[in-house]
Amino acid sequence: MFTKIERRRMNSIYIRPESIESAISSIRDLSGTKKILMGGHYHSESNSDDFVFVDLQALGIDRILTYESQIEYGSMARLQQILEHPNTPESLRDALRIESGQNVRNSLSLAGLIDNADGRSPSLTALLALDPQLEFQPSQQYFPLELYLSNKKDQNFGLFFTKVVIKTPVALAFKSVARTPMDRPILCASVASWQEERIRVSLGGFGEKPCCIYDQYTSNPTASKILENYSPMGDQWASAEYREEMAVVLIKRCLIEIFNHTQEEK
Amino acid sequence: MKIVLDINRQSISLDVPPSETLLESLRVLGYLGVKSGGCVRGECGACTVLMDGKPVNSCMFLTAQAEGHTIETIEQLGEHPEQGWRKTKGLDSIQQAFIDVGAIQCGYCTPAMVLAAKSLLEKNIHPSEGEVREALSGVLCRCTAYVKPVQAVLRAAAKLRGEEVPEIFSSTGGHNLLFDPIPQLPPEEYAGYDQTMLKTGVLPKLKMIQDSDQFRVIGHPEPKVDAMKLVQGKPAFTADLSLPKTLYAQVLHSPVAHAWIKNIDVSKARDFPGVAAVLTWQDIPRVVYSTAGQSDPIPGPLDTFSLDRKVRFVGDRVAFVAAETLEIAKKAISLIEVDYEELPVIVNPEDAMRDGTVVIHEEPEFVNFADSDPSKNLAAEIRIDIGDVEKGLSEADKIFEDVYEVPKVQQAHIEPHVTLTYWDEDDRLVIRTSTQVPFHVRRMLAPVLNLPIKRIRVIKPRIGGGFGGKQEVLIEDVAAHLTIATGRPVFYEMDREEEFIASRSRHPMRIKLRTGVKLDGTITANEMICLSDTGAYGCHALTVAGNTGHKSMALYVGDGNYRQSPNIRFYADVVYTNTPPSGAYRGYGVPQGFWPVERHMEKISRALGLDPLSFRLKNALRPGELHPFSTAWSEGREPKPEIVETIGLEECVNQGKAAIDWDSKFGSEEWHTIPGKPHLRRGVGVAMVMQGTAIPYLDMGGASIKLNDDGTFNLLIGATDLGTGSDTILAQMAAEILGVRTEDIIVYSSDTDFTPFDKGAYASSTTYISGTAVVKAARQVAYLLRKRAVSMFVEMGIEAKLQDVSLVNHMATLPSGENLSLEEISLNSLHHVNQEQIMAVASHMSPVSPPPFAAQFAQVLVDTETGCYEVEKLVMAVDSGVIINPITASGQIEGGMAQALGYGVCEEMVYDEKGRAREKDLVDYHIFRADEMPEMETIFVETYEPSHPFGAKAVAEIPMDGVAPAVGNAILDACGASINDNPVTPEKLWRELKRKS
Repeated sequence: MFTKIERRRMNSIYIRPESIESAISSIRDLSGTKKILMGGHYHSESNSDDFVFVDLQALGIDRILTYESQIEYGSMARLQQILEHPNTPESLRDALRIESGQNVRNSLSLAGLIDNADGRSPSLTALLALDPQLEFQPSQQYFPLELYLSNKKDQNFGLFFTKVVIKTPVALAFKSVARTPMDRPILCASVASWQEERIRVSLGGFGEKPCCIYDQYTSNPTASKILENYSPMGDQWASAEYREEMAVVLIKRCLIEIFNHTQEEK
Repeated sequence: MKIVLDINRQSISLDVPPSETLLESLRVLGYLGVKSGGCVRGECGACTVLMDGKPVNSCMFLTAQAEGHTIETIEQLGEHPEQGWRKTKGLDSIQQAFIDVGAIQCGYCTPAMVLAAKSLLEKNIHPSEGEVREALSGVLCRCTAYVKPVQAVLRAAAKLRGEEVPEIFSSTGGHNLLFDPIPQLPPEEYAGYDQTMLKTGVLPKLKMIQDSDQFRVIGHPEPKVDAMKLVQGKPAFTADLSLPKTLYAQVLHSPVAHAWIKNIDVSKARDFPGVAAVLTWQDIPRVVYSTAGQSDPIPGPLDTFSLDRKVRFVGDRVAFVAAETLEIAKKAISLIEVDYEELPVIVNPEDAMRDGTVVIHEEPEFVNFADSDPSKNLAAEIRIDIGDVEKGLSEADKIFEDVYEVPKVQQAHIEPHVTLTYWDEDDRLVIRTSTQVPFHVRRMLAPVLNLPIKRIRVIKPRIGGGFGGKQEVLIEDVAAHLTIATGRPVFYEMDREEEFIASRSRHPMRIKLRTGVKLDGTITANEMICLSDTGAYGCHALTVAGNTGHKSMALYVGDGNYRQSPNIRFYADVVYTNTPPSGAYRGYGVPQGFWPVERHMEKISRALGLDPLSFRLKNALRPGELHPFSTAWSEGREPKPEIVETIGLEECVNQGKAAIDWDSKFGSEEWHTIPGKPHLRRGVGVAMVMQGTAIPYLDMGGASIKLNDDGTFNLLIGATDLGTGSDTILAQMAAEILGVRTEDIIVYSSDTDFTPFDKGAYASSTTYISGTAVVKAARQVAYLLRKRAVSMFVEMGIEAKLQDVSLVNHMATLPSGENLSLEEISLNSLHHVNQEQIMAVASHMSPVSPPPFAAQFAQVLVDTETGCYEVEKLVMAVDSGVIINPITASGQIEGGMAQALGYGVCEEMVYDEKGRAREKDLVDYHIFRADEMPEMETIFVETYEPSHPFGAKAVAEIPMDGVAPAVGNAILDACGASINDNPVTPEKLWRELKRKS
């Protein structure tokens, strides 16, 4: 006996493919507006529309695998899963804690974060510094997160991504200014450093997406050098002037933390 | 689509639309412990369930996505231990711990917190406090500051580990039996007091006066009378009742801030299948009213219509829709076509009264109150002169003058505004609504709906937080008009965005202060000139602004001759702008006043080289003195002089400064610095505050008590418990008089058909006004019980006099030891001899409003490079008279301090030049999470207020008043930056530091 609930129209379709191949064919072949469910969507926003919901939860793409030179997050790995993983950089954990409370972290996947978050997202800012490569389907080609964020609607990437790969070992620092410890940052900065003296810096806390402002193979860059060709914008939350000065302070602090970390490693 | 869900270990087959959310399905299935906070980004967590053992927000999942996962709701946990002949396992240990420590206030988020705790404790039975806070971080609570919920989880963990946990509740012992005394100060500092200092993890320190320890129930931390149902997630709230054939309402809100509606085409919406009604201003009677839930006559302009042909802010109402489903209602809203003729927009209150400015209210029906003048966009005007300010200023050695600002902020109760209306079988309109003011709803809506009062019944179920936001007749008319139009039940619940753009908020103000001071610190005159922004409508315009001066400018009267005859001026203009209306918010104008006053006092004391505590106390009001405003202002009514009998402020300062360790921190350069971190500086700050307790000669509450066959009592009250614990407090007072346990008092509130009138829950009045009504009724019932006991004793051949009979331990007892149980007395009165119903009704109105007083302290850590700062500790020592229930009272203080912390640090509502809101959800409008709260400490310094039968004064609003200025003063102490505009954001602080350097 099925209890019938008729509070919404039945026009939408929900499917839960069990393989990547069937997910690809579902997305390609079914007509209608597709909504790919990767965890942590905000359904009440789409109340009166009809969708083809393609739920990727059964594809087995939520695992986190660590290798000698990379960590591979399944795109459906939940933020809390990432936070609890022992190989996740501590600073990424800090950013994830600010991102949302535990309930949302249990719901929201990495793919959900990447697809939904804007420039004020602390964890997307931290991720961007780590220069993740996203494996897209069906091509199985890898594209950098930075490129994907620049135009998420570009269909050349593919239909969806299944992995988020970060090269390791990497040292990551994340710093932010905000009204309270867990508030959305007004400005946040993240610096990643790899052994080959590659330094990559991202800024967030404003705009539609966080941005990578520096990515060089160099030793001991200064904050002002990193920022010489970049000025953060002002908006309703903070002036450009404030963000400009804070960018220097935060990047400097990140660099010191990275330096200390590197010294400890040595 | 057909799916099978595993809910609470039961397999449930559903045929469900693919777009249905798990939250919607669970509620339809009757899992009503899953609440909705109306948010769209999962930020509030009220709808928490456990999915595969982890807390998730059910609004973020489609029902179909949940197939194959285990779902647990609060209904799976424990239940009442006795269900008639069926015995149960009782409550789960987490639920019991939540009750034990007083972790439940409104209870709306309680099931979510219990589930989050369950998930944690199943993985980790030895959690640290930090781990508990992180586990609760996904559930926003606006009532508790998370203090007691965190303690509840730690207590439950200890119990699950098999450890002994200290007893908290006892219905027999005195204070001393319940807690370990932990003196915080050397005994000599208690000279003149007979007190006990008490502390546990959840109870406040309590400096008691001797008299309060004589009571059996009063002063004891009794569990809340509604805790059992709330911890089980029972269907206690407005949205938890569903009726057959209910329609769903939606409102079309204006996208523009100021415009005439030239044309509305609703034809497509009306024709859409499933739409039952679409109403515009052309369809309903044009009746002017005010939405402010206040006594008659409303002390403010009447300037509002249910629907009008003009819109005055982004979010104003344009049309109402009722439809078979929420989805259809939303679709219908999107089909309404409106042609607006846009008008100039006023966002800045300083522009509102400029010559030639556009007029926001030109409707001919506008009804003035006092000095409102719509042609000048003036909703209210206040001019109060006490003494001679100019003379006082001329006698000063120095005059200090500055301008301060406070922002518009939101009540942000987690349960949104929600109402259900329907015609009953007698063709009376029933309004089941989440309101603080059920009787005002009935009276005020009658003309709007063209119904006599006698044909309206208002039922107030449990309220999921109000904080003043529900002291407004805000949405009841929407559903009622649609029920009248369709003849069917109509349900309307605001979503979170509507709460931000179309609800009410705290009045933002710009305040100029001018203070004359002698070099010895004597204040000679004090002047406050206030510009208040009421937004598009004048609800609470006059009375909120009046309170700003009435409380904050009354605290410092001056010293010496000035104390005898203070010189105080308070002028206020309250203006209309094209922003969402302001209204009532906990504190009711007083937090706006104390931000400037306490920042100003700090600056004066520092400029004159005076100790900030001594300077304040030197000028502060003292016991036995006249409340300076009592002869000048009474909410637009005739003022009458009022003596302030009890003031525990000095002792509050002593206790508070000991708790924050003021003496070793203030002025110590070493303490202010952090070794190795020159960019970090610590600071400590203080603010002293006072509030009121009810509105004299106006606020009235009634109570009715009747005896049952078993010697228990029904207590019927019109007072509305918003989660404050007032039902419990009132039951305790009745129990004290009647000699029974609190649990023997069955409390029902409120229903305009069945409960006596009460003006509602506002103005910190329930314990004082409604409480006195309860005591009066209880005393009458006690008299009747004793009288009947005497006749029964005499019948038994035992000599007895009325004055010898005492009611104790559920018995009427003679000094000789003979006794009769209340059950015997009730059976005698109801069934055996001269049968009568022992019952009484009483009401109370007070000629005075005894102020509570407090000293609030804050400690901050400032990052001088970024302007970021962290509030590390808050202490509040408060004189609220005798504390009726220390656990619920401290819950009020903690929750109030958390809201006040947001006011000082991060909460504000910002609009662009077109009046569009920046904050539309609880992400951008940040309220504190469990994992970022500072340490908090509450201390009660008891005084005995003679105008209350148990010596009580108010407690609920005063914590709102001093946190922001204490934080501002602590920042000044840390780094020398003095910020006049609240909240102190990192950029403001950084700019001030930069300016100084």
